[in-house]
Amino acid sequence: MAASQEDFATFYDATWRRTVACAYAVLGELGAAEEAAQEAYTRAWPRWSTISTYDDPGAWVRQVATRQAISGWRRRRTARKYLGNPRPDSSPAPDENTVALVAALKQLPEAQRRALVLHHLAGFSIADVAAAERCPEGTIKARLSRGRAALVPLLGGTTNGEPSHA
Amino acid sequence: MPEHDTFDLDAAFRDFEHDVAGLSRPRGAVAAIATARRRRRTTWAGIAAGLALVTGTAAVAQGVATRHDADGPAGAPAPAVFDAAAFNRATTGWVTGWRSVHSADMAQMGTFAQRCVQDLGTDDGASNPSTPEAARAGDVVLTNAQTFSIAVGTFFQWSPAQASTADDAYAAIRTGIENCPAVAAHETFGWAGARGQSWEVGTPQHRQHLWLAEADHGVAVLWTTGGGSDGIPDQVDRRVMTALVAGLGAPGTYRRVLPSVTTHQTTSPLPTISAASFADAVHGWHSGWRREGSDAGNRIPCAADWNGAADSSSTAGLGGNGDQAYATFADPRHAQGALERIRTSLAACAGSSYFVPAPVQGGDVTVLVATGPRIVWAVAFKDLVGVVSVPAGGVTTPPRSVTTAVTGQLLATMTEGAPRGGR
Repeated sequence: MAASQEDFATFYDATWRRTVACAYAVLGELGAAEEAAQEAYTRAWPRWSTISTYDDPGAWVRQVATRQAISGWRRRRTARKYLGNPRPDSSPAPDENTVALVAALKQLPEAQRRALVLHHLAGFSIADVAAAERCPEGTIKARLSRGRAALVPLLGGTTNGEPSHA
Repeated sequence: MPEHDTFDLDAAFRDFEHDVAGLSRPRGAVAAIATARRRRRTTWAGIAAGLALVTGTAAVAQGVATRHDADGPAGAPAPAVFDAAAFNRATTGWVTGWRSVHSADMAQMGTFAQRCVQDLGTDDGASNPSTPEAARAGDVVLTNAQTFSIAVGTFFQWSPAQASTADDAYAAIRTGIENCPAVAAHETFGWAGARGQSWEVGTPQHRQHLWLAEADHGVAVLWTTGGGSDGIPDQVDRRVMTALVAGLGAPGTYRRVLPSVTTHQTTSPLPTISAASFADAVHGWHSGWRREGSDAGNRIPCAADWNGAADSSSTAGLGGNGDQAYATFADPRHAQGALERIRTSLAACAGSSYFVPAPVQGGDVTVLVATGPRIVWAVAFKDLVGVVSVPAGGVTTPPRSVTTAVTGQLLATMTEGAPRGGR
């Protein structure tokens, strides 16, 4: 395997879990999240000579995977509307906290969910999220604030009390 | 670092990530590389560069929804030249008033979709196959004075013996489009011997439309801006596609007005109006602007701080002695404020007399034209502002056709989105 391929493989192995987690948090379906993550790496490879010079190449992949997830989620939503039946999820059973978090995220507006995932899970700064979403930082702050305010009670916590999430 | 509430959301996400790690089944880097290489082999450099002309501008994936309520197979539309008249007929009830532009500059247009070009693989010529040369090609560039919109169409046709090339090109372009950011499928069409698909591009605030058609062993791509935020009516969508398919079969459609697609390779980090484009826009109007030279740098007269409140801004020369500047603001209100600062600054310009009529507003677009020692065009569109300034050279108000062309170029440049800075 050529050196750049080895580097890419190392990068893949080191960043996969966080990338797929971002997509999963958006989609709520692990199989589809894996597809989105894999697509992000597929897109990363032709640009690897550039992406590998970034301070955080993983951020690029996480951002693409998150967008792919949103795109895929819309496709599936449309398909289900036409087909009238949901796709069974054959993924292994996740931890109950994961189930709770994914279920809670699903209840948030898409923009808030994306902001939360990019910021808290993908590790983007507010400025980076704003750049990715092409909107002012104030808008991202508002989405994060509203998203958190909506998410915490859904997870059994309070916004001004002790954490109750496991 | 993420901010913290009393509820530790970061910890919740860390637990989540840990749990997902145990659940997921990575397919591996080797599979990703193999998929990427397979895609490269189906890249069509020439067509993709043509597509680059007409796609892009956005960065956030909006998803691709597929509708299957397409036209049923039937005889394809009879050949008819695709031109301004055809497009005006097709867009009746939506956006009308299109007129032809005799030429435009590919370097400017190419910046519309640098990101898409990368997605299509044209950023790396090494893996591009030797695409069969199209037997003929044509371009249509239209502008709309009422809505300050632009439409650009590109047509390619191969010999009948290379009909499969059109099939492959259509598939490759469609894949490329669907991999582009901010593209959402709108409609699919099918006739006996012809097919097509349309997409919406960008955000509701900066909505654009894209059509791809195949007929008569040729492929056509059409891109437009404008039309408001409500989306294109289905019947207009269908008529435009019909006109494209008809155009593919008409020899008169195949006239090149754009430079060779190979010039697309020169893209700048930020989009600007090129001297060649501007020369086309002001063709026949004799101002003090010179295409050649190096006397740029006067910027926007008397309005040095018009973009002080911008989130991001950029400036550049325009030809020998013109200037252009772009800025992105937090919201449309601030953009309008910047336009007003330009207006008041010019009106109060010390040592120079500027005639500054009230801005003209149409939809989301506000246009200001000031005349004095220099001619200044300033356009606000949503949260964006673009300004061009050239020496007047003794002329007064530019003709409406020139203002339309210049503001159209400003809009096209502004909505490419690169002045937003950041990444």
